[in-house]
Amino acid sequence: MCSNYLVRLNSTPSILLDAPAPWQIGFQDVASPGFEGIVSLHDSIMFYLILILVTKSGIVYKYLNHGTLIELIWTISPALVLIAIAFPSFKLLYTLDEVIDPALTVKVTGHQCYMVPESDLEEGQLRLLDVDNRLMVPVNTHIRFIVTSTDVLHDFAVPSLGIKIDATPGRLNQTSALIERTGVFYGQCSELCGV
Amino acid sequence: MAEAAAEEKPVKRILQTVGFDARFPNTNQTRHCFQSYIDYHKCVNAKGEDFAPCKQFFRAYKSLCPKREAGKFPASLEP
Amino acid sequence: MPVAAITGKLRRKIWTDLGTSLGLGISSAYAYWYFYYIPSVRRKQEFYLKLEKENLERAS
Repeated sequence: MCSNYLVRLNSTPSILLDAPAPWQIGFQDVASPGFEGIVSLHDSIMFYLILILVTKSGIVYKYLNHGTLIELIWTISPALVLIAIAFPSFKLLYTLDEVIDPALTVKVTGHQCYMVPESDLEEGQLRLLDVDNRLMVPVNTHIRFIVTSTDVLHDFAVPSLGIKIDATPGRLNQTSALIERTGVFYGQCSELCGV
Repeated sequence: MAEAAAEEKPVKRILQTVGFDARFPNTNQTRHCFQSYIDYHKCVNAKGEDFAPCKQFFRAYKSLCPKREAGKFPASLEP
Repeated sequence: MPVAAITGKLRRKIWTDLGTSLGLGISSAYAYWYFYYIPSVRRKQEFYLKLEKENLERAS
């Protein structure tokens, strides 16, 4: 689980990582269609981002101190790029919001606060990522998560399923996932609890 | 464990939960829980405990509402 | 000794500069696309294909 990220990246059946690895800079491996959409949107945007960043990286305007035309161009074209990014991202956002026909509901409730005694820790362990009672859910099943909290704000997040949703006391938030493969998927509260 | 599972005849289970409700299309499902809870008790008061259609509301609030700490709901109504 | 006015530096070089930077930008974007994105999608698809085949074998 804690093997070197680059080694893992190059081995063929590389879809194993469901917990963060040391020095990881990319996403965790995809396990649900929602997260697949998020990753492919990110990667498509990265194409244009690299194009723009490398293109304007100091070669073109190194002589220019002032120019109205070029100012206009580099103000308007990023605006158009932002609009072009907005459409697919709204489409994805509203698609992810839909919970049409779930087969089971999982209630998630946030609590403060758990501690792991230091004597129980070993180097290379997942520390606070791991839990003593894991939630078991079926694969290839549409699962609804009802997320709430008992005390302060928390945030239920499982990166490889593309879930991240606030846990608010007195409010039930709904999200869903369809897990496409077996695995142990790790996640953590992604809110500064109570802030 | 895998062999034991392979020998046993696979059991077919049907998983079911509340579906999409057009009154609550949003991420916020608080009212969905609330409304199902109210509807169930209205239904029971009007038609009696055994009236089968009330079960639908019962199942809805049972699978949507969070478990409360003791005392917030009457024990008999605990979701 | 008077030096001739320095003019036309921008005009002379702008197309080369534009060309190099656009070329660099487009080629690095495509390099990312074909050497990072497409292989990662292929890896994923191979994995799920393998998974699906295994599931079919187990079912039959």
